[in-house]
Amino acid sequence: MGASWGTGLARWRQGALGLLGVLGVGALGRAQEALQEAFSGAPAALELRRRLTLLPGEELPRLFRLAVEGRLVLAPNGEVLPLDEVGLDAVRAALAVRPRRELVTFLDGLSRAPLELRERLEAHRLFSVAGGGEHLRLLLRLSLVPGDGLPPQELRASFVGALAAVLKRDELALEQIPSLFAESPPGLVGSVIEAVAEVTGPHATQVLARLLGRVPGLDGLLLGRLAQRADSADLCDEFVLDGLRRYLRHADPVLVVAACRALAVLGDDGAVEELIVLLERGDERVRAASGAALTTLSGLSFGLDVERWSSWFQDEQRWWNERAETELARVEGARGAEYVRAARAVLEHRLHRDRIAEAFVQALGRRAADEVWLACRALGELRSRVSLAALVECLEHEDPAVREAAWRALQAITGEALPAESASWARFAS
Amino acid sequence: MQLAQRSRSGAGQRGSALVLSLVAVGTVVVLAASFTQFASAVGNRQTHSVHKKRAFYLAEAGLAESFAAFSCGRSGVVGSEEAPARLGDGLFWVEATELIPGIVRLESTGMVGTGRAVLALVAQRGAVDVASLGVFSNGPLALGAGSRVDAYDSSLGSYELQLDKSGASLASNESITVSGTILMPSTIDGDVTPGPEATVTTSGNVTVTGSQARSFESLVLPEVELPELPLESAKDHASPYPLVLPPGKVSYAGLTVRAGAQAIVQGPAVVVLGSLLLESTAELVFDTSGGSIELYVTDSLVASARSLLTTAGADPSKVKIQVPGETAAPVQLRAQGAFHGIVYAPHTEVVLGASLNFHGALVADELTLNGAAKLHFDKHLLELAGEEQLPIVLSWRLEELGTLQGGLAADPFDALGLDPASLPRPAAALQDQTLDIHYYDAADVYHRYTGVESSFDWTVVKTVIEATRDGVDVLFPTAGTLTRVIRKAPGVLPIIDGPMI
Repeated sequence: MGASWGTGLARWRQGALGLLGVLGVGALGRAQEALQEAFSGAPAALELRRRLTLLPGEELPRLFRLAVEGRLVLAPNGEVLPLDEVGLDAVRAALAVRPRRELVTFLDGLSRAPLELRERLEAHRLFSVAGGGEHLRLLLRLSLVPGDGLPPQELRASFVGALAAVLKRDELALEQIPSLFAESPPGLVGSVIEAVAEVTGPHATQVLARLLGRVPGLDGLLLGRLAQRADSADLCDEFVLDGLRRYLRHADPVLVVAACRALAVLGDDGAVEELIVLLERGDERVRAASGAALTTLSGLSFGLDVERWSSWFQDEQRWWNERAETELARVEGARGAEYVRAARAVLEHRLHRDRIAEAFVQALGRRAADEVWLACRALGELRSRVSLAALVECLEHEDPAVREAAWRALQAITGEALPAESASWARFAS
Repeated sequence: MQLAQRSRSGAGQRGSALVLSLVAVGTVVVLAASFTQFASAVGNRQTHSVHKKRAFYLAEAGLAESFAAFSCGRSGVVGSEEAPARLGDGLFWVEATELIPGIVRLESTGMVGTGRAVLALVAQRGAVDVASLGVFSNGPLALGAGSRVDAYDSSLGSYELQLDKSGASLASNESITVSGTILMPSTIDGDVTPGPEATVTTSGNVTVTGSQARSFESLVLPEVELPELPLESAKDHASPYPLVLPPGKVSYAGLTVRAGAQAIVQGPAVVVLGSLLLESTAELVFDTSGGSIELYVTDSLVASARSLLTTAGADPSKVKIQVPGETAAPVQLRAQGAFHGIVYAPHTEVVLGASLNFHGALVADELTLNGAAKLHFDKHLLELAGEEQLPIVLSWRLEELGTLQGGLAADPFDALGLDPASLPRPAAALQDQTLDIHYYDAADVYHRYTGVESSFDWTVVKTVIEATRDGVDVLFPTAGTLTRVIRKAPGVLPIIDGPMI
């Protein structure tokens, strides 16, 4: 990569960096002295960090170079002082606490000059603490390398890290992703997807779904990442699910398989009918994937038997249309033995488990501890994520049997083996 | 008149009272008899039920005894119908039938009182996991100057964060040569084990922290079982966008990733390829965030210089690259990057470039290390290999749960014509097998015993070097794991033991 840029560019770069931070030769000398002064007397890590933080703004380019090169050239004899890990950490920490506007301006100037790989990596590091949603194009400029091929792996990894850091900090930045995706060179679009995939929550899931179909070559990667977003299962909107269901009718079996997995993970009951149709497709992988998705969605093991799946689906639909409303009302309103009977009846059905789970969530607020306990058990069987917040609340219930049942239900739904204290499950409560 | 009438009616009443009393007494007697009979019947049923349950537990105990023995390389047979094992006031025996090689059915019959239960279990023998061999070559092995072979434990964190790098295993069935220079010293932080007839040769600046003793015997590398999948046409990927192979099972005649292109294999996946070519600057990513990946390459595997071979996770047990047969040209892993996985090529040569930072285990028919090798053996693979070697239960079923003929007086010892006092305890009822064992005694003297196990005194053994029962390897717990690691030769002839008991 570096070879194609020419050796003369190094001098050009030095000059550009110098221009960014230095107003004149005299100032350069003073700045160099100030930086050197910070390292004098072998200060402890905290003291070094304090001194570097107190350096004036014009020291920023030199601090950056220091972080890039990991060594300080001492004036006037040119002696080289290599930085150890502690020193380097202090430099990076001092850079990170500079005013954000100052850092962004500096990075903007930097992005207009030819850069070496290690400079880009350090710039990414700085961007991850200073950048915001409005600066994503700046990140892109800091990552552009000549040619259409893949940028170096370290660069892609640091790009993903920097972009993900910004997206986690500023959720509104997710709105910028589609345009960033469109402007990114082919070698970086995959990294944009990876960065969004690192952000949890339904908004990021929706953004990933919006990217589907934009670049056909990337749909496989997007579907794969959507299949790993179980955390968004209960919050996925129809837009996301519709986008995924389209791929069940795709000609490429690889994409159909990936869509089956994603829909199963996201718990899309609405895809069941199409998944049953896929059981009759010629491609063995598609049949296996649709069978596995149906098993995940229903909790039943009918293998690849189309007739059994169809019959089950019709029964479920009939129940939903004719009796579900009455029976769910009984779960929500009945008491004692009638409640138990109603619970048993609705638990035979899994197709609309989110709605069924909502009925049991209502029952969690009752006074009778045994009825709450039964609701917790039912929710554990249903494994619907809509009940997570209510179950976390039940970890504080006065009855130990209810607390135990709520804890087991949470484990069953999330697959996490956390302690039975509500604080441990706080992230599922929101 | 009235008096006479009253008197007559009073006499009539007295008689009816007697009749009523008799009827009442009779009813009570009948009821009492019925209740007694009912209670007796209920009691009998309960006794039968208790005996059946106890017989069930006895059969379970038999299965447990048998499975534990099976796990240690025994046949799984415990006693027989003619000479069962005695436990408490009941008995059991277990029969073992090899359904197909490696799959065994254990059938346990338990009898106590009037109860009889038969339980069956189908178990699969554990498999030998070559990952425990570390870095192994069937042929001669040469390490160039600047090489580093060490170890870490992936379950404790990344390689870079661990201080203890000892425990590496570098072995061959033939000779091993390690060279180093002052500027490029070579270090093996662990054992170097040449074949039983070969030696380790070091030249220049070389450090070996462990033993250099020969191996006890040549290792025969197990074959690779290639999954049978419908073959699809070859893929040639040159697009700037990544090619994603989603989770599942897939087989392609070939996969070529052109320069500057990227292919991502998402786990859990089983991928069978006729050939795999990564051109210079091409990248193959193993994304194990969703599960393990098994890659089989049958004809040719070339990861060119400056290509990139990367794993999304740092757990080597999640990526396994296997080359089942002999390939026309050596497998070439000249890629760059930090690879975490297991490479197994029992019938072909593997060439490893100096740019690949290899974490995991590497086993090949012949291993050629180009330049300074960086091989980091994952000790956690030893534990996983131990688990892999244990048998697994495929199914369990209740075959029979019944009652012996003869009512409550029935007795299993009478029914089988056995004297309870003559029957062995369960541990003594295990089928006697031919034991061939090499071991060190308490004074670290090397012994060998070959003969029936019932004549061998296990208390004389301090450390087992190797043991087989009827030719099947016996697994022994070592440091909490069951592993088949490379065994060192004692270097002297053994003392041959005779029958001890």
